[in-house]
Amino acid sequence: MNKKLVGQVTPEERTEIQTLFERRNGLNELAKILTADNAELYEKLVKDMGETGAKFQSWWDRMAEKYQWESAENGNWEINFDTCEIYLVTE
Amino acid sequence: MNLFKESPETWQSNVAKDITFIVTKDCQLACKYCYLVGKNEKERMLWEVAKKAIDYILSHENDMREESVVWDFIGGEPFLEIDLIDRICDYLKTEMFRRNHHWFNSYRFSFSTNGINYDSEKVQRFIQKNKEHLSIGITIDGTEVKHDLNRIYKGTGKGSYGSVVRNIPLWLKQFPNGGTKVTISSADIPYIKESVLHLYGLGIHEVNINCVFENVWKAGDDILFQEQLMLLADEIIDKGYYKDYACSFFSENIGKPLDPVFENNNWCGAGRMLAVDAHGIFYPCTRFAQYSLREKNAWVIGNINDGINKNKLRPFLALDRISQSPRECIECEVASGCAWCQGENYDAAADSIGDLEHGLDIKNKQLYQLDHAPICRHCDAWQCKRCIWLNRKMTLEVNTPSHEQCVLAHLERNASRELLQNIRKYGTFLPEQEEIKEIDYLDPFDKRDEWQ
Repeated sequence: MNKKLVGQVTPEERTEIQTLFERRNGLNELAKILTADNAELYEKLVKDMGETGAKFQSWWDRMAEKYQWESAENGNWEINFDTCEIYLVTE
Repeated sequence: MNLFKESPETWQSNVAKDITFIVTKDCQLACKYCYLVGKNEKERMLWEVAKKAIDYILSHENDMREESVVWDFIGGEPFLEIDLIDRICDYLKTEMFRRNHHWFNSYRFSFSTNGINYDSEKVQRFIQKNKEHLSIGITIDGTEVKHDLNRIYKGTGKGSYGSVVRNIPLWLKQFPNGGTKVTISSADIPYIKESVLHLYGLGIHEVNINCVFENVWKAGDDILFQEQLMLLADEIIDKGYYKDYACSFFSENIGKPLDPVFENNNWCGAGRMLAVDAHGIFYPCTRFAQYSLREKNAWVIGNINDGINKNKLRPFLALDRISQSPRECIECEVASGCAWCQGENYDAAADSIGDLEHGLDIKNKQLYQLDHAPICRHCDAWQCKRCIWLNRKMTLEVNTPSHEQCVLAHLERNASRELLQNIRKYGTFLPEQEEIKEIDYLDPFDKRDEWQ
């Protein structure tokens, strides 16, 4: 695995994706224990997972458009929450 | 860029509320330096108590506005109660989500364990289920000799090193950045250097060391301690450990003077934290629960049925470094990095102020004075009576007034202001007396962010 520094976002932009990242993790771990028996909460979870996933992807699309980071086939970007740096990770 | 590795910042430090469930007071070990003097096998938290505590905490979102939360589980040994912990965590996740609580976006479950049953099926299943939100530290004290000097099994007195070290590889595989907490008391000092290096050798990159707060030290310990630090520092430099391994003894932040105005924060987090025990009693920190205290009664701030008495939190939330420190600490040349435990201070402080035979002997007299009063020294309601007895009754602390006392004093102050203004409409009155300024609060405690 190779990691190459390709850019940096602002602290505000970092906070936005970090909150979405935390929420997505929380929803995923909640999904392990919530069943369809609890219909109301299950529906709320499914809807939230969809919305959060969409916001998550939208952030990467917006930032990639704004900063024009280097990309690669079979590669993906990663963010370091401490430094706001963006890395291109390739196999 | 740092040339050497520093211990990483604690997750969301300064913006996270730390809430501790004392799930059991039992432990497999009877560590010689353990501050928990009241450990026992009987006081285990019941689910009904835990649920009620969670319901209370989550329904008081406006009183706990911290951005993040660390749900901390402590014992004794917390993993002895893994079934209960699993149920608590499932309920927390579900309830934070159901209530749209802001902590759902930023929480962790935190454990400090002796590591003995870390590889058990139940603990491992729990880790897999919650792995994105876990912070787990295993306590291993250093070499086998140093570890087994203190960390011994209850009953048999056998050392626990072998039971713990076998789980270190699994733990580091699951938490590669895991740090351990080493405790030093008098008898351990000769083993500091070899123990830190031993932990590095096990693959632990972050070693946090605490000297016990209790008075266990002997004459000459300071010299031995310094020697060990020098030897350890030499080895860390010579072998290049400083690049990838951290030891809290060598943090860059340690050993400098602190500015009395701009670096006046309280080091201890008691009061900003919250702890609940098996009886559903709330404490400002676990160190104020009865099983932590040798000499004093528990410092109770509420319970799961009646809630938290905010007056009893005031002494903790208003406290800063200056108001609790003697002059020599305020002016200390190496104050930064100096830790203190308010629970131990409370426990160790003498209640007596002297006797008829020997006369008055008041320890730390300055703590009774206005310039050490956490709230009153910032207050401008000069007529306030500052009744020590009433303070003690309402807030449990002699130098911190209750909310009611502050509001009363400020209503009086505002009435004086209005009276003075009205009289002055008709001519000169007390010309040497300055006008009483208008203020937008009745309790200076609400403005503590401005002076902390």
